[in-house]
Order: sequence, then structure tokens, then C-alpha cells
Amino acid sequence: MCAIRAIALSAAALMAGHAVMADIIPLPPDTPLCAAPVLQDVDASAALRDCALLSTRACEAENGFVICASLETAYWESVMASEVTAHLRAHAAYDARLPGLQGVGSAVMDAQAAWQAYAEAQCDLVMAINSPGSGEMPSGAYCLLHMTVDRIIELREMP
Amino acid sequence: MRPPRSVFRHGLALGTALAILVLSQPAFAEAPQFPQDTQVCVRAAAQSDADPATLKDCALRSTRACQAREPFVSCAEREMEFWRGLLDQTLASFLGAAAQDHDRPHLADALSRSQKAWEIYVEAHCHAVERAMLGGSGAAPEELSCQLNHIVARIIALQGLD
Repeated sequence: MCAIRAIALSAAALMAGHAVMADIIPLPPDTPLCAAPVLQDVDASAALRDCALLSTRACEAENGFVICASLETAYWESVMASEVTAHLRAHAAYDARLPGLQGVGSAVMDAQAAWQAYAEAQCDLVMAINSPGSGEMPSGAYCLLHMTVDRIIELREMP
Repeated sequence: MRPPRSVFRHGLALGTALAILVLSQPAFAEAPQFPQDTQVCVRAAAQSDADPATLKDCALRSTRACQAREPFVSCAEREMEFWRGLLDQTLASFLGAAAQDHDRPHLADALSRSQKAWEIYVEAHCHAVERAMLGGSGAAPEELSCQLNHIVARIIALQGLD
């Protein structure tokens, strides 16, 4: 298993409610509190970047960067999943009128799968640049968190 | 965490490489050709110590000037050829440096995998953007703008790896 996939899976596992880890290290609310009003404003999506790493920084007071960033990435992944779902819902009626043609929802799903593969490959590259050494895993966690935020903004700025 | 090490351990920083590549392009050595406005903007960005992200401001410059005379799509397609060339040269420079990095033999493979995944992602995402225009007249221009902006973003991302 590639290292960045391990980081992604640890984030997903945390988000899925692996109670022991989540209870021991809850995500500080800084990032969700920052993002909540921004997510209500479709024209302010780029401001989500200002919310990135806020919870990680608070968490780092007592924990390592990689686990803190993975926790925060899990939060951003849940936001990203909501944005994909919003596209599917918004275009469901239109897509139903397109027999034999690819609908918007299907195209968004294909793009999301392609993005996932790209994010893993890109963050593997970032880790390769920082290898071997102690910066390898932190650079991968940092990369995945920022790429997830950028993808959320991209999804929100789609027509 | 120690600062990331440069990919270009062997002397050539990516920003410098980009400046050399841009300045050596025929359009700068001979009479200016389309996309002149974009090329001038890229040259200025490469020569300055500005944040690499300023390159984003150069995207579609020539297309905007051109579309007073020609359809947006033909203008953007021509400008995109310039950006594709710049991306190809940036990748070649990166791969050349990575090939000499004997401490990290997997670097070139990692870049190749990332680039291939990026190409699939951009095609899929910009197709989704086109589909989301619901068949309107803006669908093709939106898809082209999407592709062009992603190429520029990819060049910036590669510069950020330096």
C-alpha cells in the first residue's frame, strides 16, 4: 500500500467513527467553525482555504502533525462528499431526461474518481521529493489536506 | 519538520528553468506571435521573484484580446498550445533533473504517474463542467477555459515542488 493511501485510509477510518481514536483525539472545532459560514455562501468558496489547518494547528499542541492533519482531512473529505452529492441531486431531473447520453451526475462521479487517483499520485510525488526523512509523511498529509480543500472549492465553483 | 528538499539538487531551480525555457522560445527571439500578451505576461512572471501563482494571472490574456476578432474557442485553442508547450518543457526539465537524482530513484516514476493521473482527472473534470452547462452555447468555451486554467495550475504546482 502506498503511503499516501495509508494516510487517506487513516483519515477515512477516523471519520467512519473508529471510536477509540476519535475519542482520544477529537478534532478541534477551529476548522469546522471557520468553514461553516463560508459553506453557506456560494460566492465565497475560495475563503475555505483560510480555514485549512486551523484545527490541525490546535491539535498539534498535544499530538503529532500527521495524525492531526489526517483528522482534519477526514472533516474536509466529508465536506467534499456533500458537494458531490449536491451535484448529483441538483442534476438528477435533467439527467433522467437524457437516455443514452452521459448525465452530469455520472460525469461528476467519473471526475471525482479521477481526482482521487490524481490526489494520491500527486501526494506520493510530494512524499518522494521529501524522502527519505522525517518530512516524508508530514508532507504527504499536508498535500492531501490542501488538495481536498482545493477540490471542494472546484466542485463548488462548477456550473 | 525539516524544509522540503529541492528536486533540483543538481543546480537548476525549476523557476530558473522556466525562465530559460520561456525566454528561449522562438516567439521571444523573433517577431512576436500569438499569444503575445500571454507570452509577455509569462516572461515578466518568470523574470521576477514573484510568487509562482502570479502565472495564473497570465491565463487567457491573449484569448481576451483575440476574441474581439475571432470566436473564443479558436482563440483559446491557440493560446492553449502555448501553455501545453510550456508544461511539456517544464515536465522535461523536471524529469531531466530527477533522472540525475541518484538518492531518489523513484522520483521520475512518481512524476510520470502523477502526470498521467492529472491528465485523466483534467479531462474528466472539464468534461463534467461541459456537461453541467446542460447543452448551452457556453459549454465548449467553459470546457476549454477549464482545460487551459488547469494546465496553468499544473505548471504552478510543478514550480511549487521546487
